[in-house]
Amino acid sequence: MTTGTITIPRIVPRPKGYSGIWSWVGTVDHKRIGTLYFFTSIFWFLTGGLEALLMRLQLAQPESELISPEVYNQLFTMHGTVMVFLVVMPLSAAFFNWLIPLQIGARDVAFPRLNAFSYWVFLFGSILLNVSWLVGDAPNGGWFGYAPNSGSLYNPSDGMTFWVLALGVLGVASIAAGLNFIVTIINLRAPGMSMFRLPVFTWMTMVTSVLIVLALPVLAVAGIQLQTDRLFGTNFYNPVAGGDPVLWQHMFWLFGHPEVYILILPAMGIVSEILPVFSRKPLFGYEFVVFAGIVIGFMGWFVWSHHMFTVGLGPAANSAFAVSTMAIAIPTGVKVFNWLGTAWGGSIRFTTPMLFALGFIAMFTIGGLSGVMHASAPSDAQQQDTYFVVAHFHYVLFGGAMLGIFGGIYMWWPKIFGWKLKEGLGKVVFWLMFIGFNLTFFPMHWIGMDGMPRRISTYPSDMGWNGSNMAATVGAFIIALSILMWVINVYLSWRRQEAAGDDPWDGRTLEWSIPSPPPHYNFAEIPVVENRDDFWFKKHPELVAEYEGHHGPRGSPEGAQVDDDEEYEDDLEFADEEDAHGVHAEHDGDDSHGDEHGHGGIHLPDMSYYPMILAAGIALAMGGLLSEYWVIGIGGGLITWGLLGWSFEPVND
Amino acid sequence: MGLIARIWNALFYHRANDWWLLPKTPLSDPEPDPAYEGPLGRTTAIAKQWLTAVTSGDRHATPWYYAWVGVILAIITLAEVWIFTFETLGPWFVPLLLILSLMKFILVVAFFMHLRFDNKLFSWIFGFGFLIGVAVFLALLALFFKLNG
Amino acid sequence: MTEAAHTAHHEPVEDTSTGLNNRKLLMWAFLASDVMFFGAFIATYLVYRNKNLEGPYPNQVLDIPVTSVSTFVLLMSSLAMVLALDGIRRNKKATGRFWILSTAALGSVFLGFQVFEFNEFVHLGLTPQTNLFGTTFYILTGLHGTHVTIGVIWLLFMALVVSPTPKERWGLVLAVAGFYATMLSVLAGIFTGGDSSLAVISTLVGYPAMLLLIFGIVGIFGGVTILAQTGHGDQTSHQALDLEIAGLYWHFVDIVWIVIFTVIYLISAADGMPPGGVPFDLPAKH
Repeated sequence: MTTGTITIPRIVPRPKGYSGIWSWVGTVDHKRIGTLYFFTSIFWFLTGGLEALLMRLQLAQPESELISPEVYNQLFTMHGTVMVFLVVMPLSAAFFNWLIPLQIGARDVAFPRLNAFSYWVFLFGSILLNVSWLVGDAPNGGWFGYAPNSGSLYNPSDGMTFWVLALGVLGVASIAAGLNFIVTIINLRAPGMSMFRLPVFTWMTMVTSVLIVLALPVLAVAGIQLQTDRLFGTNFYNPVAGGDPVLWQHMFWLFGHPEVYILILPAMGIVSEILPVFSRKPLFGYEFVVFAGIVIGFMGWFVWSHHMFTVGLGPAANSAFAVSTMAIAIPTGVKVFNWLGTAWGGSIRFTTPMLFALGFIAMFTIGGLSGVMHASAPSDAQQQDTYFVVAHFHYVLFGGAMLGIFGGIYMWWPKIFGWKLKEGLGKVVFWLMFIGFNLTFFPMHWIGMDGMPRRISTYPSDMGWNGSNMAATVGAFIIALSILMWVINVYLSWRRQEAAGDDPWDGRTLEWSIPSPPPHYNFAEIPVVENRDDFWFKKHPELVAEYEGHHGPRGSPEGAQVDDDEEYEDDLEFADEEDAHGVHAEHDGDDSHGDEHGHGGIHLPDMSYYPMILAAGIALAMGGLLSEYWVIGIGGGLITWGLLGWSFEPVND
Repeated sequence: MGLIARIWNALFYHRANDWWLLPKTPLSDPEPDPAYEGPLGRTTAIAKQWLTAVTSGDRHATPWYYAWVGVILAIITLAEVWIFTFETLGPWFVPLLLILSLMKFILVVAFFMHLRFDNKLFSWIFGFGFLIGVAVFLALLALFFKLNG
Repeated sequence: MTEAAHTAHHEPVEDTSTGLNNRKLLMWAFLASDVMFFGAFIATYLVYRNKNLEGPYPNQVLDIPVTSVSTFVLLMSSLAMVLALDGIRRNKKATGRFWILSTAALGSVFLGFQVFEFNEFVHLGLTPQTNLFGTTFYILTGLHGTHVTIGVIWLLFMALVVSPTPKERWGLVLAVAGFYATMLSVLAGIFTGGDSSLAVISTLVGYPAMLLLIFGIVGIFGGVTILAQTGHGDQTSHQALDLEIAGLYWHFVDIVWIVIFTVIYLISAADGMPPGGVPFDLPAKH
């Protein structure tokens, strides 16, 4: 409606249609964007895994000279950055995209083009980061980029500039996605879907999005400061002019600790969805799980200095942050007990997703316990910068986030693609990953306690660390094998597709009530929600009474059977007609009044290329800072074109 | 506490639509009202609704009312510059300026940005971000200046 | 006055779960995010306050009277913004557009002040590379200026959107071009002739800047006259939401400046050389 009567010539015709590569480039469909997110981040997952394998090869034996210390620095920096920003965050974003509109009963996210924009910015930002390998100057200052070590004085190569620019671009993507999902969850819920009937995954997405929206700007600020230091000679972290290295640490961890919860909360949400389904019980203590998530999201802001116990902030500061850090274990523990309570007494099916979810609980608990160990400042002084810390955060990020995400992959694959991943091979994947993971990271607790420092490319042979390091390397290759098995699992299941059906797991939430894969309009009829776990109670009305009060369902399931509504038939007809045409919106803004008020009109946003153009412009302009100024000019031109095109594109959703 | 609550209410009293207490639609009603369409659906209808709402003779704040807020803002700015010329305020200098600045902040946010009249949710969203920001950065400054060493 | 204050504006009910508009919700969430952005920079400024190893120091360069005027200008632009929204909401397009353009103009004047100020400071020897004060000051106020610039462009865009006929567009272009020509000529006069108003006027006479000034003033009056003749009785209220969202952004930029003015200018203006600093003598006036 912004356009008034202004029209500008369209250089690029608006994309239409649902097949071919351009339909993916111009897509604004949340499910397709989720799929793009998913495969892109799986690609980076393999890249980051390869970097980890190289490091493990180097460390397999003492005094190894396989990889030079310089390359080793680049490897661990890129491994960390890739795994955090290009794997766990976007994999979570893939699940947000796939599931949130389906779980809240919406036809898309609130801002479909902004959603596409997030993906393209993420893609171009991730490419910008990895281009550094191709020019031979990969970042080498650690994923935390401590200044002034990452400043141009001590680190004159372009690596950290790549890092800081790419993080800026990725930050734009994350913030845009975060804002989008906040608005989507608040505003696009189906009728009756009150906040406390939302699935827990949706709730955790909400908390994560709030954290993203508030934490990423701090990283952006730190990035801008480091960037102007490196490129324009300002003094933020220049010790010669009085710049304070401790400020960088504060800035980074002010972002970095909420980031930790950004990484783990979506996986917690996924597990909170898997457990009830395969225990055939409602989630134990829904309100507690939700409030624990909110409390974690809030307290996560006030613990950041526990990354800096050895900096010398003083006893008062260290004590305060030790207390707040230990306190955050309480809501986390609440969640663990609620998950156990969910499985307790349930009729459990040990499917692959369930195995991953149970593995998540166990591994995450171990990681959480070692976390409480270094929440204590004196104890942390012994553990700082040792492999003990490496073991801890791999237990929460791999044993936690990645196992949760793999559980999610097995759980929702049939919904997204319409065919199941074969269970047998899936269990092999789980056990290989589980065993390999523990073999890799458990010995790191011992060598860490024994004092083996992180981020060093080799170690002497007489320290007694040889066996553990070899075990870790073997474990790393077992993990790699499990990933390979997963790829084979995907391939074989794809070759011999086994139709999943709408509801292969006896699911609880709304996404299982629609066909697999979901039609592009998601819901032919927007559902009316009466209960938490509405779909499950509609399937099993006899259970409503059993869980009355305990679970908070209100109203009788027979109260609002909309399914045999006359209009419903019309909807399906209408939808089929759309499918036959292959396009869904021929009308261009002006003639769409006809079914505005009707119940049946399904309006979907039109496809658009401008999000990609704008995203490419942003990445080019940022990358141009590293090369030639005319590249910035091209980027600026693309940004202007993208913005103008975007603003004048009719919004006829 | 009661005083603070009263000041808060006076400044941020809202006509809320009880967004937390969803659903708005009675559950027995098979057709949601207003009809649920799509993510951004019914733009034209909404614009018409908007037009009706805006022109239906609802009393708004008048331009003069905004002008008065502007005058108060200008007066506070003058006062700030005036305070700046004092050299004898000592420890009162910084708190006084911060309080005046906060008053201006509240005037703009509450009246020019309509938080005073708008849905509570906007205040919650902005207020949450603002409070997190203030708390976190005050803690950061405290680490540098008070808790140091 | 208070009665008017309590009369709530009747919001239209949107077709969403909360009845609130998606884009407006997005803008508020974005503003919360931007709070963290500016908060981090202001915190950086405060951490580095009084830690300069060499001059120029804040008390040697900051000019409170000048910045007070520019602060006042920005505050008044917020008032103009809210009046613009009020006009558009009441379907008074001419009034609304007048205030939109005034907002953009006042914002541009603020930016002009910032250009003037940066130019002064550079002449006094303060650059982003000089010391911690220079670094933190320029990057923070520069990013705020970037926000203002985006806001000005957005508002000019809104003015274009509420001016659909060719005649209106011509009037708009004339007025805007005239305004920027005037501003440019005044800035040029200041930069070449010093900062006393008499010197500015004497420099302007006999310079190409004078021609620019004449064109500018004629353009403003011509453009505003054309605009005043158009735009009666048009239906503009559906643009009120667009303008409201632009306005939220504009007011936010204003409140950021309210904080910056207090923290960086008023509170820090007396900051001199910290212990251990190198004394600094200001260069002679250019």
